[in-house]
Amino acid sequence: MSALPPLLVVDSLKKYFAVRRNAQERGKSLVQAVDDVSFSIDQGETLGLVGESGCGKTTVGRTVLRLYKPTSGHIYFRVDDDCFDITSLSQGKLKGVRRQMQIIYQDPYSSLNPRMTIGSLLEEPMIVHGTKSKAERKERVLSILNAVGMKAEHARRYPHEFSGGQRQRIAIARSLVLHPSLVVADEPVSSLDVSIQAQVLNLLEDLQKEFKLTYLFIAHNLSVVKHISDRIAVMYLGKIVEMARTDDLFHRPRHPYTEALMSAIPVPDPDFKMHRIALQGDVPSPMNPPSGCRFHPRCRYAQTRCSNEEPRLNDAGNGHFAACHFMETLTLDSVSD
Amino acid sequence: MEPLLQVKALRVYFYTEEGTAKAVDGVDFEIEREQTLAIVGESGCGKSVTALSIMGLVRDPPGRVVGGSILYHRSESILDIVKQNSRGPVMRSIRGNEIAMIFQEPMTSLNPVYTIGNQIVEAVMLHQKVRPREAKERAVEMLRAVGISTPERRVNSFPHELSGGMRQRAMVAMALSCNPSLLIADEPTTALDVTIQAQVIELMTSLRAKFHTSLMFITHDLGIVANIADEVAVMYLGKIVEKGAVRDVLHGPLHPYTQGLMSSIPSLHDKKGKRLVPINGIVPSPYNVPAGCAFAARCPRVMDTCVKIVPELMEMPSGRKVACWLHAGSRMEVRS
Repeated sequence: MSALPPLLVVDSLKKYFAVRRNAQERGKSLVQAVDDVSFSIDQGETLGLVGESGCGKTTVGRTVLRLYKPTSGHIYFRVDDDCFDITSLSQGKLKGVRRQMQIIYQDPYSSLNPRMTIGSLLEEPMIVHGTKSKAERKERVLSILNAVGMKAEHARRYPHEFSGGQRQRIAIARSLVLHPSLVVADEPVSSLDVSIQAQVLNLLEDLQKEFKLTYLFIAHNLSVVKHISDRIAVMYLGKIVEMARTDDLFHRPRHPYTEALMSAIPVPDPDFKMHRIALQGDVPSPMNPPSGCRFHPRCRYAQTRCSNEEPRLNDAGNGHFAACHFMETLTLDSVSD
Repeated sequence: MEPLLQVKALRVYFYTEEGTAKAVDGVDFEIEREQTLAIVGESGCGKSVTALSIMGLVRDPPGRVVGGSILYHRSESILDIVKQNSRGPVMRSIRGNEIAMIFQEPMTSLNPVYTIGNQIVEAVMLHQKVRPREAKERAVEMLRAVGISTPERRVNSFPHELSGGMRQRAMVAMALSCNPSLLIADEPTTALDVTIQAQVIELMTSLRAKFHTSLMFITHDLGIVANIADEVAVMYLGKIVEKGAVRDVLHGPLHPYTQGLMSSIPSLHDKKGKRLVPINGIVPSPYNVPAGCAFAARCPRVMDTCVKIVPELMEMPSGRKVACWLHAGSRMEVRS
């Protein structure tokens, strides 16, 4: 790719949440939602972040935008030639950087204010960042509605008048109206029906080309993530266990969790018989994660070393990283023939 | 093959302030003994309402079964569920006993203030003449059958103490505790993570064989259909548009809607950069069903006839059924 430095660098990010287990208990315990996560995204790239519920993928997305303040670690974000450490910016400076980073939420039924018209919903970000004249704001609203496949007359209507797919288009329009460079898309299609899901995925791809967007695409559906991402990071219990270019990951998974996750994808072909690796049990609580490798109690290849020593994310070559002690020796099943 | 359930020309309408919603509008299908029928479709296509009418659980008002029949073949008699009083003794003896149902969200379908053991015992005692101790033993045995570890302890757990996957297993245990002849599962894995979903589907497949139960599996995911069902019926706006053996339908969908669903799904074998082919437009409102074929406005191969006359579900020489004018030339015979 380009010689430019990455648009976003996340370095050893940790985010712990303090919770009380029950009313009697005085002492607080910590949920290690994100525990030592590092990655970077180049300009124009799509990084898919995939994992099951509770793995911390949403927390990563929100911390990147500093909607949560990280417990430790750094997030560097590049605006033109300047690089900012999001984690230590003052509120005032943060606001200037924020217009370059936007988010699309999962549920377009709760992310759009029901009392505001579509026009005012789309105008609000521009008012907040206060640089535009009213006429210019109106013009931008119309052009962004057009870009997401909606009509000018929709600006006067309210969210309840639209279907789920149309609402998600509006939410996408709102995130793009300030022309950000980075968009965090948090499960943007998982609440939509499949026929509508395909429309929105195509739209996201078109908009990426048109506006030169960089996506952090968070989802639990591996087929969707594979479709849209250049690279994929797989998370398990607050950690990235594997990260690779999309084709490499599917061709040769290096972590047993990725292998199990892939084998669990329901493929709409009755003749496609993949050896299904049934994971035993449930995901452990992030309040009390297992020792050593966090996946070891459910891993079919686990050995004693796995419960004692935590594996580091190691480079297996060609930008393919995996956190497994035995990644060089294991031969894992892949989906691609 | 011997049918267990025959649904004929079923119509269920909802009468609301906004008008009449034709949620199910002329649906025909059969479920054979020990077979799995998957009903697939997007939100609002009427798949859940179809299931609720089989259970006699359509809330009236606003809903009403306005036509058709649901013939349930019991051991020595045939019973039309539509004609039964849904609160009467016959339906009460069928519901939860001979026909059981699992819902999508296990947290809202289990009672939070009773232990899961109590809830299974309640179902067993209601339908079978057993003593409380035997019922409790049955509960433990069922929890073991669905793969819950230490069932003797778990039987005393409250729903909130279990994870989502375990709760859905407990629901399966409860549904199968009276050994039903038909199990209806309405999106039972949609709220679960993929690895847990795989566990539950595997479990349901093995238990179906073990208990000789027929299964009606409602889902929006064609991937799950391929994994679990023998036959599949595709629904769109209150009607079945295509029906056939799973392999035939998924390998060679005949109806443009089924074809559109297949091309909308990102495939694991696609090359990077391959564009999805979505279905244009959105599902019309059930309050205002268009004349002719309900899919016509979104169909890439629409013809003049389509917007005028509703296509019936027609049987092809191959035994497949499809409701589409494109295939009208190759149907067996015109049903008057």
